[in-house]
Amino acid sequence: MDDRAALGRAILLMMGGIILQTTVINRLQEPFFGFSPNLVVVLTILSARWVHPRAALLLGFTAGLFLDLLGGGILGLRALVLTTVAYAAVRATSELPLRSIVGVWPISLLAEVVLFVVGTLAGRGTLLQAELLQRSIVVPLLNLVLAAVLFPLLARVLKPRERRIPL
Amino acid sequence: MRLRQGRDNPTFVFIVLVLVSFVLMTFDAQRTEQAGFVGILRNGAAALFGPVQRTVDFVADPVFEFVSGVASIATLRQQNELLVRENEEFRARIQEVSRLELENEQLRALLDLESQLELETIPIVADVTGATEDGGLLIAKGTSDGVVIGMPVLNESQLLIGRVVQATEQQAVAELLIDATDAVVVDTPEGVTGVVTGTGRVGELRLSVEFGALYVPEGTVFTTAGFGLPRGLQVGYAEQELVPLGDTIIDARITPFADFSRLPRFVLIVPVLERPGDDPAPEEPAEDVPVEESTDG
Repeated sequence: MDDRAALGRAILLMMGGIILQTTVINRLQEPFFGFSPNLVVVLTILSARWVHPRAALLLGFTAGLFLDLLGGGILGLRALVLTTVAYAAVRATSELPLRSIVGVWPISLLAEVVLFVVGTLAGRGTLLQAELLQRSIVVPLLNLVLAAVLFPLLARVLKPRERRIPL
Repeated sequence: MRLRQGRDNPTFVFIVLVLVSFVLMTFDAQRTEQAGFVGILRNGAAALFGPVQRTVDFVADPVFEFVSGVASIATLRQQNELLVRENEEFRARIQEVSRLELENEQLRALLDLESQLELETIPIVADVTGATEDGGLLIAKGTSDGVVIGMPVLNESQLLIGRVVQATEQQAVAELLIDATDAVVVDTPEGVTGVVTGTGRVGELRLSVEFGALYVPEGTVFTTAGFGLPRGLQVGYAEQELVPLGDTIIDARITPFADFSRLPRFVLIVPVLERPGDDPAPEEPAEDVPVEESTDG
């Protein structure tokens, strides 16, 4: 029951994350060397700590699919990237909060690499190739900072509540 | 029992989802138009998220404007001084341009030429509600407002910034010129015809001239040459002279006129009228031979 409640809250958070990403965060490029943090990637990684592994994978896949549907890109590209992100997060998840936060950096880097490789194979090389190196450095770092800010909030929202045993 | 264990295994689920993603990518790459199953899915996603996106944009837009204004006070002063100097230069040039305009009008009348840059239809004005992960623009008008895939998109200054690549009933997505993988055919008054594609960088477009390239002097302006876009829309200019490789090929960078460093607040989407001579006429099929439908995206 707790798992389901956490999943429901994770789905709502993810929907909010997609809306914020497309309307607000993607505009915040000027202060961050022309790049913006990826809230959806961060939410996918951190959610894997509290929801069931299978649910985390489906959450990542669905979030990616919605990003594909809302954008003009290839359907399935972001779904694949975020599924990979969720799988890496599930495999790397840890009880230690600090390790979960720091883990956002390598998994975000992985997301950039997978996006570049699969995007190039799918014919989106021109766009994705531009400033690849800077992007691979800046975006994971921005995601890391975002994860550190969001972790306490997510812990509060997604952590299963302990049931009080009646005396 | 073994199957149940397999389904519970995250690796199994991961492999299934990766395969589904690849199937979707293959399916999407083969679609020829914005219809069918993918179209329904995109319409559904737009209907689910569109109203909330517009609401968030409505709230966030003034905040962005304010923050952007405050953040740029220092640079605005510098720009102001620069603009004053430029203004003086332009005043001097206006006199020269007035003389040239008069001369131009006389020549046009003599040659009975019509202006090449005339939008013959009323553009659709649409708010920009956000940006996609690929850097495209989310536009708050869709097929119900007459937006069709392929329509050119202009910014507030009426400069070409991209094309519509996806349109649902209520909203559309425009791919920016700097991210464009589809080529825009351009030409110059000197007769150089080439194609422009994006480089992914804000101030840079790639110009390719496959054959018949000429020496292109610094400052040459490249405008659209038709082929699905209105003729004469300014695309970019050569910041330095372009010298053909092997006397025939140009593969160089040009600078776009439009400012891609910030999202426009609204855009103009221009319905394109077919003009004779814009596109090469397709070869007429022989009589009694069935014509196959094109499978090009």
